Formats: sequence, structure tokens, C-alpha cells
Amino acid sequence: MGYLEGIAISASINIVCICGLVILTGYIGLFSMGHASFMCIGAYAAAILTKYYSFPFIIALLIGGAIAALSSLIIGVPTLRGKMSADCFAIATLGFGEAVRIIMSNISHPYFGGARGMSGIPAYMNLGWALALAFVSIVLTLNYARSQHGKLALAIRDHQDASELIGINIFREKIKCLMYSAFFCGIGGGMMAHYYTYMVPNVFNATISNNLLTSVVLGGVSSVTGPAMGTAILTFLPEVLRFLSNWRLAIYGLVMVLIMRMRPEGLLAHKEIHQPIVQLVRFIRSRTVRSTDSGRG
Amino acid sequence: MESKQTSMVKVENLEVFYGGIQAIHGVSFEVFQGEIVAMIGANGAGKSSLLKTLAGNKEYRSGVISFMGKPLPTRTYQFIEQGISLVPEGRKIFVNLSVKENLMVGAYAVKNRSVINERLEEVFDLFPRLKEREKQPGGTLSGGEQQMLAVGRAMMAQPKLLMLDEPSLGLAPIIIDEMFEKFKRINEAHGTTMIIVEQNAQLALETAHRGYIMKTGKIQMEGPSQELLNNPYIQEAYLGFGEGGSCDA
Repeated sequence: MGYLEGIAISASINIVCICGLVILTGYIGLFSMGHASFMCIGAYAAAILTKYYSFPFIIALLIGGAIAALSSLIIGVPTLRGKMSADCFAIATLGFGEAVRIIMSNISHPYFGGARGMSGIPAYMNLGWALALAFVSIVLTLNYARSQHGKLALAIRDHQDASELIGINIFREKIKCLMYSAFFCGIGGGMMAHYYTYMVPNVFNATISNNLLTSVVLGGVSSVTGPAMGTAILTFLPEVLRFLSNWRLAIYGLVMVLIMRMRPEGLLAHKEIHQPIVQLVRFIRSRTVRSTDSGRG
Repeated sequence: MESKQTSMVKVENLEVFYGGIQAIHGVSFEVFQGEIVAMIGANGAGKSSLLKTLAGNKEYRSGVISFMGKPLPTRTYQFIEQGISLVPEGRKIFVNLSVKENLMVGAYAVKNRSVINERLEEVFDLFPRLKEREKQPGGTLSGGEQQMLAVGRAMMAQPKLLMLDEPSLGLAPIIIDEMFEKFKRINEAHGTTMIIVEQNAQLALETAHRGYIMKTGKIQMEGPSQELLNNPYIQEAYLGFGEGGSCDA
């Protein structure tokens, strides 16, 4: 049970991170190759707060997320201004990701522990917290995506010029999405720190960033639950395939190639998992409304 | 129509470059409030560059542009607040948003809910087809419907100056006539000033009050549309009434 629980917690942590990245990549269409850096910043911030200042867990997580969101301005303001292309942003985030990891490795302050990392972080994380946070993140992100903010993001992804012509401040919208994504990655990082109770900066490397990006693309553009499901699959798959020992990574790669070959827009592009249920509820409700109407008439 | 002589847009000696290539060579012109102006010219004459510059989508190297007596704002998204709107070439509909969402995004700068609903009704009144397809994604519309949506989206901001870049591009002839009728209707109902850039010179001049003929980045000729329509040079070069007799447009 402990093993399964561990995977479930990892999947939940990934889902929280993904919820942020969905808005950035799936909605406004910016590819980030360095979101592990925001996890790193959130993780260190939250861990220091709980370990040295004995903050309550949830407050520490939120502050960690907020600090990550603020730090995203460092990369966002110079790269998203003006007519810089999305490629510039992707490359800049790649650099930012590495820079944060290396800076963290070289901070000799005892709170950070440099390359040896931090240990003795309180183990606040459990399955209940993980599932609750993942659920809340999904609901918040679904709401964000459905709101005018989400629509503006989609408009910008479709036609940046046209959206600017109808008066959308593209820079502000992009920064908003970036901060949103960094916030959730920061929270995910905080969750990770309090689950493993120990971390070194090298954990937050480019592989994590790439996995996040992969999950979003695999899960489907302009969908929230699709990528959430995608990341759950990607977290479980290597574990399920563990009996294949060395072949498992090859199979993992093959599965990804096949999915992208068959569904180039991702598993659930432009759709949500719960949509059929919502439609069913609406259908039933409309039936009952009609019957009461006819009853009145 | 003799226009009320209130100047809306005044352009003096405008020069626009793409890298080292000059697209507009010292163009000056004026558009008055409430009129429809047609910009006619061959490909590469600089018509679209002119519109893009006026809408803030392209920076200009030299010259003076004033809108309602004031200089243009600095950022593209601020142009709409001043009342300048461009329906871009190729429509640029948001394919992943529904028809209604496209229109709502067009009213981005408007905060008042009832004003938005009022304008939504106006657009649906103008283009009943959009009302029918309200919930459909923009990408599933036909070319004509997409053009209606693009115009409707611009109308949601209720611009003072509406610029249309090649509104007939890729549309069926019957839809084109309908579109231009709607432009007249918008102009009459709201007094919206319009600049229409068109390849279909005949139709554009018939709709507009005045016309400008552009050639290789300069304004070659200007005048009331009727005059231009009767000008033998224009008939030959742009309206297809050449030596070989008239061809159907």
C-alpha cells in the first residue's frame, strides 16, 4: 500500500504543477523548458518557512507559490515584452531553469545547504493533502480556463496580431499566465519538499521541466483534465512497466510516440473529462424542466 | 456625398519600411468623419501597410499621423480605446472560441455588462447568421460567416474608425455584395468612418464616398468615387474596361 500511495502522491504533485503549465502552454501557447526552477524556488521557500520558522504547512506552500510567481517576473518581463517570439521565451526559460539550479547549489547559507541540499524538512505531506491539493488545483484551473482570462489566452494563441488589434494587452495577459503557472509549480515544489523531507537542487533539473511539458502536450491543448490525466499516466506508466527492467524506458518512449502519432493534439484536446457527465446532468435537467413546463401548460 | 468637413484622420508624409525596403513613400491624405473611403491598388501598392500603420500594428519611420486632432497612442492595444479598429486581412478569427466568445473578446475593453449585451444584439441584428451559429467554434464557420464574425468582433468595440483589409478575399460573389451592403448599413446607422482596402475596385468605389488609388507606395489619384469610376484611366487599369471590351466583375 505504501508503494501505491507513494506513486499517487507523486502523481498528485505532478498534477498540481501541470495545472499551472496547462494555462501557459495549453492555453496561451508558450512553451517553457524551465518550470522546474519555479518548483525549486517554491520548494526552498516553503521548506525554510516550515523548518526554521515553523509556519503552518498550507501557509508555507502558498507563500512558496507566491514567491515562485514573483520570481517568474524576472524571466517574464524581459522575454515577453514587445514582439519577441515564443521561441525566445522557451530558450530563455531553459537558461533560467539551469541558472536557478546552479545558484541554489552555490548558496552557502546554512538554511539552503548549497549542493548538499536541505534535510529534515517536516513530513507534512500525506495522501489526503496530496489529493485535496490536486483536486483544488484542477477546479481552480478549470475555472480560470473557463473565465474571460482563459478566453483571452486562447485568442492570443490563435492570432496574436488580431487580439492586439481588438485591444488586448498581450504582455499583461502573458505575464498573468506565466505567474499563474509559476504559482502552481511553486506549490507543487513545496509539496515535493514536504513529501521527501529532503532535497538537493539537482532534483529540479531539465528532465523535470521536460516531463511537465510532455504531460501537457500529451494530455491535450486547451484542456485541463486532459493534461492532469496525462501526467497521472506518465507517473504510473514507468512503475507499471517496472517488470520489463531495462526495456521500460523504450516502451515508455514508444507509448508516447504512438499517442502523439494517433492524437497529435493530445489525448483530450479541447475537451474535459467531466464534460459527458455535465452534458448528461444538463440533459436530465432540461427534460425535467420541460416536463414541469408541460405540466403547468 | 459631400462629407461634413470634420477631419478624423490626417496623415502627412508617411514613410513605412520593412527592413530596408520602403513600402510607403511620403503618403499624405485625410479622412473625414462619417465617410467611407476606398483604397484601391494592385498587390504591393502599400494599402495593407497603410492600414496596419494606422491601426498601430506596424511602426512608421517618419511622418505625422493625427487622429481626431491628437497623435496616435504608442501601444497597439491602446488604439481600440481611441476608437480605431482594423479587421485584418484573412479575417483572423479565433478558431477555438465559439462565435459568441469571439464577439465577447471583441468587447474586451468594455466593462459594462448591459452595454456589451446591447452591442451583441446589434451585431446579431446585422448578421443574423451569427446568431444561428452562436455556440459553434469560429473555426467551423464558412469563409463568409468568418468575415461577418471578424466585422462583428470589431463592431463590439464600437469604433469611430473601422478599417477593413480586403474584406472580399476568398468569398463567393453573392456574399461579397451582401458584405458591402452591411458596411453601408453600419456607416449609416452608427456614422462609423470607414477605410476599405479592396482589390475589387468596382464594388469598393460603388460603396465608398471617396477613393484613393495607390501605386507602388504612393497615392496616384484621389477623388469622389463617382469621378474615379468614370475616369477612363481607372476604368482601363482597375475596372477591366480595357480595349478588349468589358469583362464581368
